[in-house]
Amino acid sequence: MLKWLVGLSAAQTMLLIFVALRVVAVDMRTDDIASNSERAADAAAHRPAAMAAQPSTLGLARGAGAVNIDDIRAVIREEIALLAPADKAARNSDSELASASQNPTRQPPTHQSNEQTKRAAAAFAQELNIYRNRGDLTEMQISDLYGKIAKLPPGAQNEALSQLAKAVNSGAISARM
Amino acid sequence: MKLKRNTLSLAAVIAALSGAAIAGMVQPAPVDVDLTTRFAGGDMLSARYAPNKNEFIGCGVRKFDDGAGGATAFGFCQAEDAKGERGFCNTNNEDLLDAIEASADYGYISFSWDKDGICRRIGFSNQSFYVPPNVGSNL
Repeated sequence: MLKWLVGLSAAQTMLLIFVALRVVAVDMRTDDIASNSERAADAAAHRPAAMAAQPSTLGLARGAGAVNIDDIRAVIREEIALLAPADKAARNSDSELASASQNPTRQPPTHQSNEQTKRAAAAFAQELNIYRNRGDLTEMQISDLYGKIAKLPPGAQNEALSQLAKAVNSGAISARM
Repeated sequence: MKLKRNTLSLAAVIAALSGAAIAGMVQPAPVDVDLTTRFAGGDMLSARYAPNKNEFIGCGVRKFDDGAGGATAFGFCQAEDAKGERGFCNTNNEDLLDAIEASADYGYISFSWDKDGICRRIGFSNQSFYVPPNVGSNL
């Protein structure tokens, strides 16, 4: 009778040890699956909404079971490919801005010429003021004024001619041309 | 007595016919300057021999070497009438400059200008009735 009891005890002990080992193995496996699922969830959160709506080729969004390192690499490659067109567009925009700042011809040319014209016309007005209310101008002085006008930029010449005519018509400058 | 009267009559007829032979249509145009419409006109002969010290009318051109093988040209017209009213304008319009340079010694000149003193119209009319009588005849 005793032999039977000892035998049964030994078998029970062996069985318990086996079950314990199996429990530990399943527990470890469960931890692995849980950590992989968290990583997959993070990757899906960074995906664009349109792509997230599509089923993943790896089946991660559906909560598939086994995940290995190759799957993870594939996910990373997919994310990089999605980011690449946007990055290229941003780089193109930066290069356009750089070339625009380096190319001086993009500045409107009329801005500089208008400034030159205004300055030249103002300088001639000062020259003209010298002759105001000083009696009749001589032929030399008249020719000198026209000579100064001839040296002005084309845009300022008309303004200078106008200044001279107005001065003569108002009587401020007396001259028989 | 009758012969003397006939001689005098004949002399008068000859004198009258002589005047008619060197006559022709004469149409003087004294200088007139209208500051309201900015217009001036008149013939040079009438201005030259006007019974005052004011009247004159004329146009001219000045050219300056631009240092690049060409020239910069400016034209002008000016006039003053018997009342002392004066008009003056400048231009660098090539066509108006051509008109100024095509003028003759005697003639009727007219020009108008805008509020900026730039010539907008220049006209010349060279007619026989503007030629002075003492120039000479080819008859």
